[in-house]
Amino acid sequence: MKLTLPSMLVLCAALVLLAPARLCAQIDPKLQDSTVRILCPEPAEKGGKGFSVMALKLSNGDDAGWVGYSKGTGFVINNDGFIVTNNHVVAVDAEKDEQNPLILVMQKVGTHFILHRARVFWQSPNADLAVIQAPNLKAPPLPLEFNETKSTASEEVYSMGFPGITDIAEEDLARSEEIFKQMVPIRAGNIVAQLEHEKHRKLRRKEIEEIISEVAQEMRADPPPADWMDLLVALDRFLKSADGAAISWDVTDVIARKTLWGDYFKPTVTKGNIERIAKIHGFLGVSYPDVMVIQHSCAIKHGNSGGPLLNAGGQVIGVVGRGMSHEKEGEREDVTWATAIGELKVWIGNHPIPYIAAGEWRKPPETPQPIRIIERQPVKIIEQLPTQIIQQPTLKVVERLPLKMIIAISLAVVLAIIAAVICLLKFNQKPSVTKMLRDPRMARILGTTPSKLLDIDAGPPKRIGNGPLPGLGKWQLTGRAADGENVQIEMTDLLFTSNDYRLILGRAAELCHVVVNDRSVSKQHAHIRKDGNRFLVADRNSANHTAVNGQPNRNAFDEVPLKEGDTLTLGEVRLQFSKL
Amino acid sequence: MRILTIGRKGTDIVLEDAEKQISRLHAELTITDGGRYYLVDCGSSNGTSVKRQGAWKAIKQDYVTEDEEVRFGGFYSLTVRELLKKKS
Repeated sequence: MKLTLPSMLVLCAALVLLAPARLCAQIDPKLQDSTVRILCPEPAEKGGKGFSVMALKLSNGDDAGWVGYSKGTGFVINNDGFIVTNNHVVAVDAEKDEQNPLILVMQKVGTHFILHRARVFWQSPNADLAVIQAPNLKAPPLPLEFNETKSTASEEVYSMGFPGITDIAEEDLARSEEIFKQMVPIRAGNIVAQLEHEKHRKLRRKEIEEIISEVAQEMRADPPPADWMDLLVALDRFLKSADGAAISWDVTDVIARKTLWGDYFKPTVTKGNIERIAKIHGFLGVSYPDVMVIQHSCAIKHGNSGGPLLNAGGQVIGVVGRGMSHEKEGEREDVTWATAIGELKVWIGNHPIPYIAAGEWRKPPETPQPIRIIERQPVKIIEQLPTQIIQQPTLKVVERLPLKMIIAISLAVVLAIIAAVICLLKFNQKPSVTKMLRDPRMARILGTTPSKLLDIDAGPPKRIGNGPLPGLGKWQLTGRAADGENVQIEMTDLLFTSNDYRLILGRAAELCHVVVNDRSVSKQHAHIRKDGNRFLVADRNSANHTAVNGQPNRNAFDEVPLKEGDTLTLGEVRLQFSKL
Repeated sequence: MRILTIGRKGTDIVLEDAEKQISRLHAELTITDGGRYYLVDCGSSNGTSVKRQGAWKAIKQDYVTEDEEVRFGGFYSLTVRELLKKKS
């Protein structure tokens, strides 16, 4: 067959036009309903409804609000409202399995927006995966593909999620800037107050300035869009007036107030290719199992975290949200990873949670393990209360008791506290030299009489008044090195003050404030920090470790108290810590 | 002698690592009066490494040079010179 030039062109054009249509068709738009936005705003004070909102007044007299929050994406895996996401989306700290106190999921159903309260079911900080449940959420579940070997490099993949907000009106930008300026000192102030409380001291000016610049930097990285804040404040108002015990609310009326607001909850789809499938270190590092990941080229932004990575068949092969930044000669290169969904297989296999894999529903095991009961199910509480009261008539007697009991208990507590304080005061007092010398046993040990000992002692108390002034204290570390050489180290208040209250001990003179010359001591072995009147000691990742009273350090840089009379061991050098 | 703290938050050198593989206080860099550099890993979760003869070597504490490439956590790597430029 002979192809003429025009027909070739037509063919090419047709291919170009057809190509995207063919690719898009493979991702059913209905799948977007299975992708949900997860939102973790700071909840209102204990027992309250809604969020913790900071009321701000803008320069033009407008009211504005601020709500601290974290956000991400999740996807539905069954009809019971189970959602898979990243652990770092729902955890307070990405390295821990502690969940955020308030986890909300926004679902778009046709033209309606439903806000669900969700609870964490399972969290794996190492694999950065979490399973949460919003019991009332019904959406078509996404099928899972556990076998990552079925995927191949260069295969096309799709990511769905809710990245950052891009469409911001100019006046919103100005308002965002003003919110930013007002919030920086407030947030920095909170951190300063918290740190001062923890450290039992006022922070130095330099430290406060550092905190302010840190907060500003952090907020600049993810600036507070005024419009998004308006939406959170509107949702908060709605929730404060709504049924607080409910686990889902129809918030369509709130979202409908602004046409743009609905767009925040429409997922975007980006296309890319698989670049590599490999095992890499998990979030928690080398001492935890490695995690299977899929390196891909889909465009990923912050809010995408927790969204599904789909193959062309619409099956979930990974959970997006990991990445890497490599910096070389000032240029930044980003690589994005998705945790392979296969990392979920073992856990989900052992739990009665249905899911779709290999084209069919996987049924729960025959002996289901108990499922954690979802809190705040008002129905259950109402059902249980009356039966308890009927079954236990003695409750009435108990009812009359509380006041007396409260008084009795509080009296007991007060007495206990007084006793504890007296005990502390008494036992904390070290016996004075005079007291020790008056003890006839002491005289016997020293081969003399108490009266003679007291004669000798007559002088010292007067000298105490002439002792070092506060701030001019001296402490020493004395002992013997492994080769038998005597070690005596003096540390003065002045030395601490001039070195930021932290002295580094080690073998290399150019790296330390205090040199401890012994082969078992690392170049920088440990440091002693003076915090007010306390001393804290930490190992600096030395080869032979640091111990206080024979108790070796657990982790490098973990500070433990060092008190007068304690023994500090650096490698093989045992030193006695005392005040001079 | 001068000591710079390196980490994800509130340190002299702040490294932005979206993956949080970098610990809050990850490492400390001591600059001696003679201009030498000594890098100490602060017991970080994901470790500190130096590239030596083309391979990454995990370190607890070691001298490093300005041209050497160091890595904090699993992925974030840069030369000591670039690291020093990040000092705020």
